[in-house]
Amino acid sequence: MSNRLKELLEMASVYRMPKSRVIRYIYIPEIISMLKGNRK
Amino acid sequence: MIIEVKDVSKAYDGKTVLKNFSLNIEDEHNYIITGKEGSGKTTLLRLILGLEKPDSGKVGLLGDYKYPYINAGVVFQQDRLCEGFSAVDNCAMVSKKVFRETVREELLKLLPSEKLDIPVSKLNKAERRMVCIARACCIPSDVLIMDEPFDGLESDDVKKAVSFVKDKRGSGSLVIAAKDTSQLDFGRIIDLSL
Repeated sequence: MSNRLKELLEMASVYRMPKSRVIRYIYIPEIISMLKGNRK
Repeated sequence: MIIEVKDVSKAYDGKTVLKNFSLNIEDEHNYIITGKEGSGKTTLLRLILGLEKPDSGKVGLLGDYKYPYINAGVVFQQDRLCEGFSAVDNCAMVSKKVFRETVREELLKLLPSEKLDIPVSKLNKAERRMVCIARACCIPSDVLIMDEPFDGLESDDVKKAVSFVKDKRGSGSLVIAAKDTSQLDFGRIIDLSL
């Protein structure tokens, strides 16, 4: 996993509202594009 | 709510960064964590946020708290901004409860209006740091955790940012890690180098 992806995932996890046990990450478009890029 | 850090130790590659460290973080209090490079400032903040697990000891919540996790607004040591997005977008994306107009109003306290709608990749280091500070303060949170938030800011900007952060802390707590504490005289100073 790239450093940038790791950093964004950490950010997405700390910013999600803690009352939600289902949503573990907030939506950050760059994460999705990075994950798609990794799959190719 | 009290965040309890109790007898925490953490080592990386055999090098001890924190040893039996304890601290209670209470509402309406400010904590300035300082110390030289490698003294464990960032590690301590990451332990509080649950991004690292301690080798021994524990980090937990004391008292009556409605959520199982800490509800925190965070400034990381690195900016972690989405480069192609504007300052407003970067702040608005962290919570569905945040309105863009509110974000804009808050950002205007830290940045000139012409900087708000251009990609953050075009902002300088100090302006980017201001966006990070605004982003952390935009969401409703119980604690603000900031790792070197004023790094790269001129003295006047530090004053502006400190005033903004103190105002936004509300009834929660504020934890700032900083090497230079010369303008941070508003909280309990904890020196990890000692």
